[in-house]
Amino acid sequence: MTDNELMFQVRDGDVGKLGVLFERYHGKLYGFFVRHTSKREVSEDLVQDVFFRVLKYRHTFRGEAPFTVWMYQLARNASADYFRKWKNETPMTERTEEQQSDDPLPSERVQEQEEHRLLKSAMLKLSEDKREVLVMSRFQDLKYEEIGKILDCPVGTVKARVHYALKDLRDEYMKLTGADVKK
Amino acid sequence: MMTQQHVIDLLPDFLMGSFTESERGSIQTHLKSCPACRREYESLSLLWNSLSALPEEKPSPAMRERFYAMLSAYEQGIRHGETSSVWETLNQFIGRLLPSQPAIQFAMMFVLVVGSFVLGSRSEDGLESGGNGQDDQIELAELRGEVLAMSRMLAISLLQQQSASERIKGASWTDRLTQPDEQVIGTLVQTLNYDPNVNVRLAAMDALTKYSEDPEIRETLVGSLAKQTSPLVQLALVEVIAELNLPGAATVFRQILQSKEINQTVKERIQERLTQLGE
Repeated sequence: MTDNELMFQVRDGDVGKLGVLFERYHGKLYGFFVRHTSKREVSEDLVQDVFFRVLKYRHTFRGEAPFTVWMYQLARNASADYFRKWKNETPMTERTEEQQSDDPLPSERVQEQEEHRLLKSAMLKLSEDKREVLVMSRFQDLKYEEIGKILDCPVGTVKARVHYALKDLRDEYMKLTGADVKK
Repeated sequence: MMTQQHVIDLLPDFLMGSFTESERGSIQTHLKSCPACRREYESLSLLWNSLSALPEEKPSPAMRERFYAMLSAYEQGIRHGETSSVWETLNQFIGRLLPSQPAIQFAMMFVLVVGSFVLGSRSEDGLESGGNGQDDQIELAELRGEVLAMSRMLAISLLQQQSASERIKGASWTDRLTQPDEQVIGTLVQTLNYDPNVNVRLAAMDALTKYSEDPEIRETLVGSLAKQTSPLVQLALVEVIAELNLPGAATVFRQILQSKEINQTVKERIQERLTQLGE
């Protein structure tokens, strides 16, 4: 069954069907929030919030665009609300991205992990709107047209923003590594 | 043709794998002959590909549990929607008059103003002795019952709010109930185990700890340790379990120590506590 068919059933009262949509998208959504915020627990809260909003606003689903477009719109609202509310508060300590196992790693794995760490730090240095399009296009498998609908802006703007995001990411990454990716 | 024009603006689409085969071919031809575009392409594609090498982020298993807990609560809410409780009717009624969660504000006011008067008088012996003003005493008892019922609904309702700070308030409101019933306890347990927010889980734990003389609650607190994913809540629970010397403490501690994903600080604390328990 397609996403939209499922969501129509949820809208019309068969809310149990939301479970199928949750199974399809909670991992992706979680990835979206973690890449965007780098906070794992906050991201889990936000995923829960998105599905709560899907229930809360299920009557408003018209199905003119794919379910995912609507879902990411709710996701952006959830995230904006969260950060507006907690802007001035330092979040409590939580699991950071890097905490993993204590097992010693072979040196090539160490190097790889270091590269990943730098790349993630560079991502976090991007402005929010650039990071957002990069995450959506690279990690969420969304097409530029879909991103345009989610952000309510022309496709050309999305493409230009992805391009600028990649350029900024390159600059930030270079600053962190001292390496010259340009060459 | 494209070979004469720079292709820098087309690179985002090119990286995404858009364009037909022949369009891609002409872009590649241009890249071969134009060092400026090639440099740009190489550095951008290097980054683009290294982004895809980043390992996938996986949520904790507790997230699924929390989602299904919320979904079934919502389904139940729909099922009982028709025969909605007095509380909901009240909520809807006042909701039409005032904006933003007014029923909760109203209930709080009611409990605080009327409650402080009724509960504050605490004339329990008077209730049983009867005598003069017996009617007044009965009325007072009824009113007190209403205040407690309102407090109870308020606590449950607050615990189910979407905002974390409201849920924390809910957990602390349970303090006002001398004898919280099963539903309140059940909601607190649910909150401790599944609430997405660490601070709310901690508040629920504090609230439950107050009833730790109840064997079932003791069991719940011990059992909850294995369900927690945040080191912060784990640490707090370890302290409570060890301080109250709850039955089964040593067993659950050893069980947690065997888990691979345990945080180092939690591990050390559990080991210390196990030593103190004489294990």
